Amino acid sequence: MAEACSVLVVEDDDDTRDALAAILESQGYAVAEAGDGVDALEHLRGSNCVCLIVLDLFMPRMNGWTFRQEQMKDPKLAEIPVVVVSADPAAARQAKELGVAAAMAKPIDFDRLVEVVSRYC
Amino acid sequence: MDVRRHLEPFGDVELRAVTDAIPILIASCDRDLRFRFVNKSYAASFGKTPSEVVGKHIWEVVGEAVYESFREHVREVLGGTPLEFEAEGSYAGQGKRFMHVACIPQRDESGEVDGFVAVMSDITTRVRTAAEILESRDTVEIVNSVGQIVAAELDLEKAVQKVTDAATKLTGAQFGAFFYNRIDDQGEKYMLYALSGVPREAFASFPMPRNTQLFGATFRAEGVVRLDDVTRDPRYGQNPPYQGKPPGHLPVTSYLAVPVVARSGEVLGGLFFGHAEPGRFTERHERLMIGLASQAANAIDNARLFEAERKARAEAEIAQERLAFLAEAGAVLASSLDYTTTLDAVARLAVRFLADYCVIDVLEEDGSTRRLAIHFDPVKDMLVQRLKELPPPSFHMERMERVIRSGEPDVMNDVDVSLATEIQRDPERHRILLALQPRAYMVVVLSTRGRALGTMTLVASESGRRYEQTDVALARELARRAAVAIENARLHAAETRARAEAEAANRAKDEFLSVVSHELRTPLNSTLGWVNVLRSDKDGVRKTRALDSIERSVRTQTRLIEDLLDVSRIASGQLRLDVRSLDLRALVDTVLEETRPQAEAKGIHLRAELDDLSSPTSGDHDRLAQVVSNLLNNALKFTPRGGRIDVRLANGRGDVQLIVRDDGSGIRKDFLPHVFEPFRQADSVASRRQGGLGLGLAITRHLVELHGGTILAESEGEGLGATFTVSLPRTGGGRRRGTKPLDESPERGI
Repeated sequence: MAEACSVLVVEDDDDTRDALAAILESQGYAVAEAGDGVDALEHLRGSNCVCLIVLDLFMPRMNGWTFRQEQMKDPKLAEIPVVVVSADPAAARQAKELGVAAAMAKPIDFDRLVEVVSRYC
Repeated sequence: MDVRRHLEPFGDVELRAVTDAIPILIASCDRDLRFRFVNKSYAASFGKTPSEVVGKHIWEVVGEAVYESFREHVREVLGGTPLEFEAEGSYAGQGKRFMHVACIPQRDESGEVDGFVAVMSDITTRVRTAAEILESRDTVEIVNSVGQIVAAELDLEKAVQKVTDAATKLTGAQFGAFFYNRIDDQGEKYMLYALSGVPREAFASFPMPRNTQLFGATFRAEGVVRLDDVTRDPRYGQNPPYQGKPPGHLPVTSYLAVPVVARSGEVLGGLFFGHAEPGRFTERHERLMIGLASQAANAIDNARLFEAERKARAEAEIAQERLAFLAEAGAVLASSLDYTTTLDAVARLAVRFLADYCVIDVLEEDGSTRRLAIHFDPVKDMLVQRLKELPPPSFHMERMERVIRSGEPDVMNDVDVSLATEIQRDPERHRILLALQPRAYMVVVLSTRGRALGTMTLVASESGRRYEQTDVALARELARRAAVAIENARLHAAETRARAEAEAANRAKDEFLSVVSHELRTPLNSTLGWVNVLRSDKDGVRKTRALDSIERSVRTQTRLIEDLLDVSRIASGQLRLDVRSLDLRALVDTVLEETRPQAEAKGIHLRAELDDLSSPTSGDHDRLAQVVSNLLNNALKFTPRGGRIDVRLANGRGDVQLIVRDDGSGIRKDFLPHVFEPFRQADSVASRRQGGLGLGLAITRHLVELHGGTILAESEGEGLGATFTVSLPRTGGGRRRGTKPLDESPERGI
């Protein structure tokens, strides 16, 4: 299962997204990237297998909160676990209310992120 | 009846002796009315002896006139009827006498009436006594009844009228009047108080009596004046212009004037009586009038006391009412802390109790004046509202300023708007004021804790009221309370505003911290991520990408920190320029080339048209480079992939212009005015399309202004691109429009 499915990194900052992808790839995961919530939903609905979503909260077009609502509304997507990463510690705390698998503040503890990803993918 | 028969025991001599001895007048006449017999008393009453009378006709003795008065009686008695009657006649040496007369017909042997006997007794004393008793009973009754009426009458006017009426009746005067001891403004004429015997109109046609020698004597307490003929008095006719009674005066000949003196000795007034005939007023009248005058004085004293008491009571009631009003005003004014509501409440209270309309001028903290006006009549309120909009005339402004300066109210009664020339020059004001008809007004200061907040102008119009001292006092008290309420409402508003501002500042600070936190952590995050990657990147395939990214992040973070420091320097006025001569064209070109890779990476067409500048420019090289860089980065940020950016450097008229135009997302009309404010981005934090602190343009504007230039942002709207135009003075250095930090700059090289 892990072979076929990828981790979806939803992050608007190109450098951060690249770094996250590089780290996860170096751990042997397949990684898909999206610049905002709209791109992410598009990717998910494109019949791609996603085992986990790494979600930033502050993003243009569609932010993390709205994306999460849209995801929960879609039964096919609702089950996919989400890890919230945010530069705002308060936002990261609030994100737990969204019913996510984990929430972490930036700068991200990458070891912990890899550990969380390993549980689902 | 035959007298002789009854007197039979007497002879003629005895009869004569008897008839002469009694004080009764006896006469016997024949049918031809010649005296056949008279006793001594009868003859003596005409100054004659019996023998001088006997044989004469009646009219020869008593006179034609007296005879005429009893001719009818004589005719009747000769017809055979005995008579008794009373008659009045003049008798020698005794004047007018009243007589009781008994007439007995006398018959001859055949029974025919051949004469009559008259027996007369003098009843003058009895008649006079009876008349006097009757008269004094009337007098006592009148004086008594006057006393009772007057004692019960507490209305001054009515009391005086009753006394005057009774006195006129008692004296038998044709005209009676009471004049109050009060002289008109000219100090000449007495004011008529009560009049009796003639309609008041009879007095209206000629001037009121003046303080003449004769008339004024009564008021000078010179005692009673009683004259049989007023024109013969030496004091009469001594005063111009009439030298006597004015034309149309009542025909006074007999004159009686009695002073009415109070217990205190004050001459309250005088009772005056007149009659067209001379000699009508007697000593008795005089005495009566003195008694009546003292009754009148009592009545006036009582009525005055009562009046004073009633006035005091009315004043107490008004004071009570005013207290109640002030209490209510206090309650109303305390009920709201809203500024506008409070001002409105003050005006409404004023028109309810003190004015027909009211204008309140409040000096606002920003130096402007706020006006509020209310008329109790909704229709006229429209006029007042219009009046409020017109600038106050200068004399009113002066009044208000004087009241504010001195704190003392300005009161004016008997206002006539048609007389004010300044108002006449202003047709609209004139028209409105003619309709409002202000009659009296007062301006009172609204002040609290020694500070004047404004004025309250109270105007009385149709009510016709005048502003007395008590009204002014009440208005001041209302104004004092109103000022406290206004001040409270202001403090409350200021406090609310300050709290809202503090809350907004707090929110802005939170939002700013959130943005700063996010913006600073984001590059840190990617740097750490790439460091992590490098550590595990044994074969080094990701090394170049990682180092590029780390470098970018560090630069981004450096820029952010620089921007924050710049904003802090700007806020504290510490931003300094290092001004030198420079080649602006080369500077712009360098920045363009530095930016070009980013533009190409985003697929944006960056085009530049840089003119050779006709004169050298001076300025701070790094700061001007920052200006150009900020504008280019801003354009790159908001221009989508495939868009274009045009940069133009051109000679203007006296300035150099740098124009950066993009066809990107543009700026919303409502945001355009705020585009240069720090921490402002058109989108909210959670969904910002673009990173950054929103400080770039704020810093840019400040730097441009420090150089003495201007910056302008234009956009047709969202999605329609934006144009930023920087204008720098050609000589550079900002000498002409230097701001404070620039002038203080120690590094300025020029």
